[in-house]
Amino acid sequence: MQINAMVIDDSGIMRKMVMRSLSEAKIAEFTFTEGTDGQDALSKFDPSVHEMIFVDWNMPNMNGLEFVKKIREMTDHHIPVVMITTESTMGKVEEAMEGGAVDTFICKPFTTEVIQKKLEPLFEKLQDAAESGDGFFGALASKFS
Amino acid sequence: MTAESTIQLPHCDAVNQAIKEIFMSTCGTVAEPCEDLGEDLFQDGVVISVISVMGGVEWSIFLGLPRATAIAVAEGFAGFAIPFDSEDMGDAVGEMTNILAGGVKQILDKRGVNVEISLPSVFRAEGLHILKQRNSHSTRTCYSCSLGPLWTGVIAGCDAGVVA
Repeated sequence: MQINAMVIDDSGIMRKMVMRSLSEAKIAEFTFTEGTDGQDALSKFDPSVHEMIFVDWNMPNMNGLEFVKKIREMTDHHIPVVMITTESTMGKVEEAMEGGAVDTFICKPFTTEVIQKKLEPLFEKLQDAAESGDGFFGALASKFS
Repeated sequence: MTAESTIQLPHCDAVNQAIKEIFMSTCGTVAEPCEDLGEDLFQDGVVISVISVMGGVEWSIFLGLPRATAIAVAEGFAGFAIPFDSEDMGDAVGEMTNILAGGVKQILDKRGVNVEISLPSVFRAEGLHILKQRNSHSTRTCYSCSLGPLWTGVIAGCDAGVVA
């Protein structure tokens, strides 16, 4: 299964670490588009192409949550969003999850094993959605089968 | 720069606690406070990252890594080698500081001291001499770990409730 994902972080090293960990986790075959902050990512975002978002919370110009709100306005499809955060923004990320903007989060520092564990429930949700043919989740999840 | 060991900023121990946790979780090494290592620490090149803490306390937190330590720490953190003179080095040390400040925030939150943190700024320098600012209090703690020596600093304004 191939997934077109966006990885957005103002730190180049963090983008490399996220992409490397995702590749090593072998959950899917990812193709990546990189964004250096929310504004840069917004200019590259294409709802017909990008199927999953990995975004840092704390960035200059446009932070992660502002970016997610913008893309939610751009499309009715629910594109899964994984927020990358530190302990300092955990409370805010949990609020964003409760509000439905964010699907799950990964707390820095992370390992490939942590990413695997965090993403498994999300991919199980995708699998369930595939079986029920539920909207965009279903369309994305149908790639599993 | 000399260590101001007689000055204690309230809640400053949070930095010490956080640095131990962060170095264990990011690099798998134990960072233990040690005797002040003096300015020799800076002569072969150093990476310094600064982040501001605002709210219940008003601090600038510094993380300083001499060249050899920076190279080892960045590799431990990222999982691949990062040259000292590269942009990636700044990213890696900045991210370490961001995680450190996040840890400090979490500790302070538990004590009822609510703070926000800024984005980090990272500098690379050689032959560095840090000048102490008037109207401020600062502490420096040196650490040793298996990756080499390092230090943290905290600078606060004069009204920071210093304990002598």
